[in-house]
Amino acid sequence: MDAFLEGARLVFDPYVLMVMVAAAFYGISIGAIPGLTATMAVALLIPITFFMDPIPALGAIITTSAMAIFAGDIPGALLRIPGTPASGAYTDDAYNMTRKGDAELALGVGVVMSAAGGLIGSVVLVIAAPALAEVALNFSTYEYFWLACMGLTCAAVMASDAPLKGAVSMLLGLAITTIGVDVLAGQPRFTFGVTQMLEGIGIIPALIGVFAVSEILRICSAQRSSPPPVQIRVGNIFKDIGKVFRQYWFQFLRGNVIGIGIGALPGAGSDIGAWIAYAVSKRFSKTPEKFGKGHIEGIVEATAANNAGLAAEWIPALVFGIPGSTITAMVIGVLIMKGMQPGPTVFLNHPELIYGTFITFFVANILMIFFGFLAIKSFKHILNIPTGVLMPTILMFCIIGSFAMNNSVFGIVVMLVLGLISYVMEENGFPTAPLILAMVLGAILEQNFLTSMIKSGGNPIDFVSRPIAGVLAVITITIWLLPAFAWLRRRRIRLAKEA
Amino acid sequence: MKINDAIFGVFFLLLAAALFVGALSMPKIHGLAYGPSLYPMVISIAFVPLAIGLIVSGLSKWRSGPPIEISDWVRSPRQLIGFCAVIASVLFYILAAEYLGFWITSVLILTCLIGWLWRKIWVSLGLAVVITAVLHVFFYTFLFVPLPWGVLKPISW
Repeated sequence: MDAFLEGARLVFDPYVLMVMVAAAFYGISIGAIPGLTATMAVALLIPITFFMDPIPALGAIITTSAMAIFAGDIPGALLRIPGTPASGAYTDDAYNMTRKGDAELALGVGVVMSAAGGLIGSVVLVIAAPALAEVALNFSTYEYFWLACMGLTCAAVMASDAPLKGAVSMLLGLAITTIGVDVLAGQPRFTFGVTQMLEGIGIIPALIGVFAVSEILRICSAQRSSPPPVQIRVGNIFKDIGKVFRQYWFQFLRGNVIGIGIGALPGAGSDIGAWIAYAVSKRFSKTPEKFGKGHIEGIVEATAANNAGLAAEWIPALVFGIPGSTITAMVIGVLIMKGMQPGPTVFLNHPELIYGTFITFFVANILMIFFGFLAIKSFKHILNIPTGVLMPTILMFCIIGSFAMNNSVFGIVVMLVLGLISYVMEENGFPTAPLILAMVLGAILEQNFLTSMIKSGGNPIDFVSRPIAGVLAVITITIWLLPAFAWLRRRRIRLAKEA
Repeated sequence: MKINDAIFGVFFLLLAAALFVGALSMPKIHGLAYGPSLYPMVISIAFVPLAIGLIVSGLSKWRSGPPIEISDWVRSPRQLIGFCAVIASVLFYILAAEYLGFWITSVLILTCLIGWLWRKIWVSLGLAVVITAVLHVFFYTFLFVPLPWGVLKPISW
């Protein structure tokens, strides 16, 4: 109870609340600009959080990500350009509703269901995380090794359309983590005599490069202006919410369950939760033919899944130190830089931090209703910011942010190189999220792998002999084999059709 | 720029070979059965089947299109310059910021980029000064990031 009160005191500090309000403005603005993602918003924020205490830093990240994810719905509904990948699942429905003159309902459902989904996800986080942390205290290096493998596998196989390319991206990230002094023997590897490389490739400049610089390159090379919104005036967005909720309450709850279930998987993330929730909604709908043509049902389920998953992503991050998404990967990077290794021991050593994080989720989701309303009303002003001014400003921000980590231009070099690699990868269908997750998990994976090898004397049976390690191993290997099963199934269907 | 998967496959195969050879040359640590070379070796071996998969996938599409397909925007000088200007700006900052200082480097970069992308040259200079001032106050004054002064050192605060 003392830890809870201490957590509440930390969150309701005027400075922290001010940071959260500023982060809300920032997250809403970035999320509402077509092409700028929630991940990019958080990546740009990281250099600033580096100078904050843990609670305001976490508050800023949580608020920014929640606001940006919701705000992605606005350009989706008004311009048919989803602001974030998670909003992409139901953009056609929201846009077609706007064309029919129902923008208020599409956006109102977006903000209210997002906030409600976020609150339910937060409740699950509060209940599940401490319980799982108790279990995690008994984990050995074998369990952590398999958890890291599972996180990477989910990111590579489940969270991308191309599992092969996802796996290559993941291995590239792991290969990058071999640069620098190795975790056990302290031996320099692949540093080529460059002193700055002894510390390895900094995760923050890498994140800025992958998520911001590659996007700036893409936008500056496209130089297209956004089409005008089909309906500029938006009336009362809360008008028919009650009616929609009474009609689709089951879809709302199912969306939450899917979002939380997918979000809590290490490495899967909430974006994929929204897509799966939309697909499930269509599959079990009484009117699947209406989906994609301006139907609210799929929006209710997917937008709830979005924000519920956002909270659930923090479960593996806080409990095991294994990120559930790119955003929580960044959070782990920030906490490690502050000298705190996320994991079950944080629940024992810094319980106030955990409770503070929980409370922050509730505050951020309540703030979302007010700021969401504000953002919808002022959307046309956000659109008026010329890309030609915004992109150079963000680029300077990226340069300073990468420099600020070690006060060295080497960070800027890392940012540029990773930005170019990410640009080429994305142009050719290689997802970049597995690369970043691998860069965060690389050290954890290597440390637990080598320690387990030393403990077991290289005996592979020891890796699976403990019950939880065995279960995690089976799940991980099953996910590895999923693409092969899917390919065999498609082949069998094709052969059957040919016969 | 779309590149055939087979080319990526060959690149990753070469990367795996380099990683493996690099790991082989690492010294053995006395008393440690598994040294710093093991992990890079495992990664390099894991790369091989995936790289072969990319080569197979790429070869199956080899005849349906050119191995390297240049994107449409590369043919537009305006868009190509926009792309190159971003890279050139970062390189310019890396090379010049220490000597010219943050203020001059940032104003030059922002003026050129905003001028090119927004097509309003004079407004871009004013905006560049304002944005640079805001960034400097925020990062240098509030967050104590030691942004370089360069030639403006005599008038630094």
